Amino acid sequence: MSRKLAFIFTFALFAIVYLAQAQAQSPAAVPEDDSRVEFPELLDYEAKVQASLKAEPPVLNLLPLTQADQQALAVALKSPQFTSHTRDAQSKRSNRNEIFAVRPFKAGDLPAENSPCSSDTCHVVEMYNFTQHITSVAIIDNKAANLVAVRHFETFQAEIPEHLRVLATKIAHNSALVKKQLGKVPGAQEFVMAGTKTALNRTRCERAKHICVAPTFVLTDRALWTVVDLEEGRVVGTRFTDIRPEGAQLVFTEQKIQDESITAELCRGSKAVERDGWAFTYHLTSSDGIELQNAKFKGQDRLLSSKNVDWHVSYSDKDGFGYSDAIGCPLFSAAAVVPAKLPKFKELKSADQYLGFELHQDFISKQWPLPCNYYYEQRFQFFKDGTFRVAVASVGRGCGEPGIYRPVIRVVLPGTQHKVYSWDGKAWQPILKEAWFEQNADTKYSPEGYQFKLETGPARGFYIEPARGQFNDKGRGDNAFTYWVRESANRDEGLNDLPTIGPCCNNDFHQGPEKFIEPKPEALTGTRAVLWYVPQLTNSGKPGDEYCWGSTDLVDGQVVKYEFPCIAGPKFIPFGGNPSGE
Amino acid sequence: MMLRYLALFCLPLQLCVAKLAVAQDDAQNCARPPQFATQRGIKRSFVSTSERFRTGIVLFPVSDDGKTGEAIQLPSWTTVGRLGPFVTRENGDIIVGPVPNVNTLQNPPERQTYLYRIRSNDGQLEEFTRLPADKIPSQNNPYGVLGLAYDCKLKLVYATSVAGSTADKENGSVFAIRADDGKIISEVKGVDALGIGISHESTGAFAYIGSARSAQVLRIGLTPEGLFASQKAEAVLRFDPFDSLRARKIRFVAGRMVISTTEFYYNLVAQTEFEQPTLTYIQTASGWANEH
Repeated sequence: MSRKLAFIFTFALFAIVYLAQAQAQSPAAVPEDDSRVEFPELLDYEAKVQASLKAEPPVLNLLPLTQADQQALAVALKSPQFTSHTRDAQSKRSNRNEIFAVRPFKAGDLPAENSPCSSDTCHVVEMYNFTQHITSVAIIDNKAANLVAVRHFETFQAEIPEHLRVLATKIAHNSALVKKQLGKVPGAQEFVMAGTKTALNRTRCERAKHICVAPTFVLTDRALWTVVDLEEGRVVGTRFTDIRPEGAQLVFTEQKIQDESITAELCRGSKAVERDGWAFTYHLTSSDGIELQNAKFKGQDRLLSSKNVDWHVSYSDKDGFGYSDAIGCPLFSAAAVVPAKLPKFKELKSADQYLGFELHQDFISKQWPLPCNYYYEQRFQFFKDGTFRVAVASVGRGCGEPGIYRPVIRVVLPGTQHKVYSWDGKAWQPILKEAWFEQNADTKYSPEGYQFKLETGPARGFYIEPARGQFNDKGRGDNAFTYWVRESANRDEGLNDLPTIGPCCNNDFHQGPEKFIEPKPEALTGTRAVLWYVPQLTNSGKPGDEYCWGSTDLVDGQVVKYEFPCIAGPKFIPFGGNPSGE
Repeated sequence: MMLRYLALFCLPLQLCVAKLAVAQDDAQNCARPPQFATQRGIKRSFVSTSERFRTGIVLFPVSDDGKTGEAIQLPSWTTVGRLGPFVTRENGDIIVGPVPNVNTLQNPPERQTYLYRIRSNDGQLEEFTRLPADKIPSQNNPYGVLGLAYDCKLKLVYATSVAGSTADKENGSVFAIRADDGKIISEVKGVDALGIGISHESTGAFAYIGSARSAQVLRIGLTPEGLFASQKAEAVLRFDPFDSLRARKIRFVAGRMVISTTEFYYNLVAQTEFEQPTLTYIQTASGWANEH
């Protein structure tokens, strides 16, 4: 319809080289954190956006218009067909809409045989709906003052107007990340795209689904791509690239920068952490999530390895319907749900009291929280008293309710000569052979709330406290299957990256780890015991009772996402041998 | 639009989104219904490898008035895990390849380079051939076979495999396989590809392949016998300015090249529907041009 529309999926013959080549030849991509820099022009623009949401129809126009343009725009905005997507269909709340172009009609905007238009008689009005990602195009007959045609292009983005180009460049200019990468604050006029008149490269934000553009700062032999999210007014990431004289221009997008960065930082290497007396390393596996290794507290061993091997999701509306998901690296992996961002460290607090910190990694489907998209978390919690918790969470949303999430967690504690005990209501009873246990209403806990004890030596080891809703994280209890498995020198039972080990939809202990026990349980004495822990978490989407769930709402023209994680996982309490390391 | 809803109906790579019609493309328009179906009184049918609750391959009868009937699935069709690309021969044999779906539970890595045949006469699924690979699929790349094409004139099955490819090295291959006995007669190494289509042109026959690592279509010349004439694939066209899409299926229909696309990152993330446009190209004197 409109040749001026530069749609995302206009498949021009761009010269593109392999991602692998790019990775090999150019410095690493750097994703921005969630921060943004506010400056007067950005705040002014956002104030105008907010004001437009209260208008009728809720449409922002910042274009300089001729009299004919104004007339065409007025006709378009009076057309219910053209403005049909400017409000949410159900709630009638305002979507965020902006006029991107008003221009004279051109041959080709309509099929010639049907067109009553010429450049003298008709105008084209292009409007972008930021909330629903729809470009609406109207052809207006100015002489007759009526609508000739209208079309709505879903998931397509029109070419942005000049004032947004300028704003994008200023966002890049003000970015702390750009300053860090360039070693200076670049002038806004210094962002250019080599070989073109425009200051912006085209890019896309696949995960955010926002309008993004890429102001590019050209150095002598390379250029810094800056991917700017115009909906959030912030830099998504940067990427240096070589300048290729023959037009073989690389293209970087939000997802490419994120995937490259995560691969380089976590999949090809590991990170070492020292904080609050704790020291450990971690890396991202192909399909077992983050594996945390060799955790020590004030020099004492606390945890050899822990990872999240599977997520089993079972729906009871149809027997056998569900998924076994693996989480892991975003490229070259067996993961079904991958991270979009690097992990974060969060403080753990109770009221104002600092308790410790958490290594937090999200794995999220691109379209979460739309139905049948998934969002998982790993939360390794380290407390300043030397205790720690291996926690995971599901944030839904899944394919419906009731659904049961069963994360499969593997934990290896230090020591090579373990003795394992369970509490029988009166005393600790040794577990002599490989076995599994189900946490249920009949489960007995020690007075302190512990279900198991693992001795790593005489009078030293760990108590294991399953979640029963006592951790003040809105968790409703683990209802976990616990498997104690003898570590085998001859078999790889999880030392290396494991494939999916269990089906989605078994409702009993057959979640995968039992295959390391059956058919003939081995003795647990005189060996290292590996702990497999499979919580069972029932979701709820009922308003006010959401659990393992995600939802959205339209607020001020933006889709706001709400998270209702169900957090699960055991806490480990060391004892004996100066458990606090003091 | 919904990720898993789509995955339920089509495998992550959408290799099977277009359920088999009788005619596939100019070089592949000889497909005939399998005999076991006609023996059951089924005149028209289509097969699918992308059914929500069914592992393997399924045959759907189609009535004279065009209505789809109850699914037919023989026991042997469920025994080799999730399946993906398939081709049907002039004798009704169906050649099909495995593709893991969301996880590898039913698709162990070591079997992702196997091709299977459903015999036309009795419908039994059997091993057709095993594609050689320097390294078998692994947790770092769970895929093997990704594309199939059948050339009626040459009576050859063409297959693409990315088995053993890593982030650093492109270890995939394209194979030409004798349809009658599964013998591999030609191979181009070092190419990772998804879709494959055969085109007979005035200058000769070509295997067109969709690169798994970039948004471009490559081609390899074929000898009159259908062997690969070169060990190097030449770039024909690029189709996505953001280099995110891959050509998962390439067909030649009425002189046009039709490319079905997907995103592909060598992982098991299911891809979203609206990001998988189908593109059509026409051949011009200077090469293939977007029809639009």
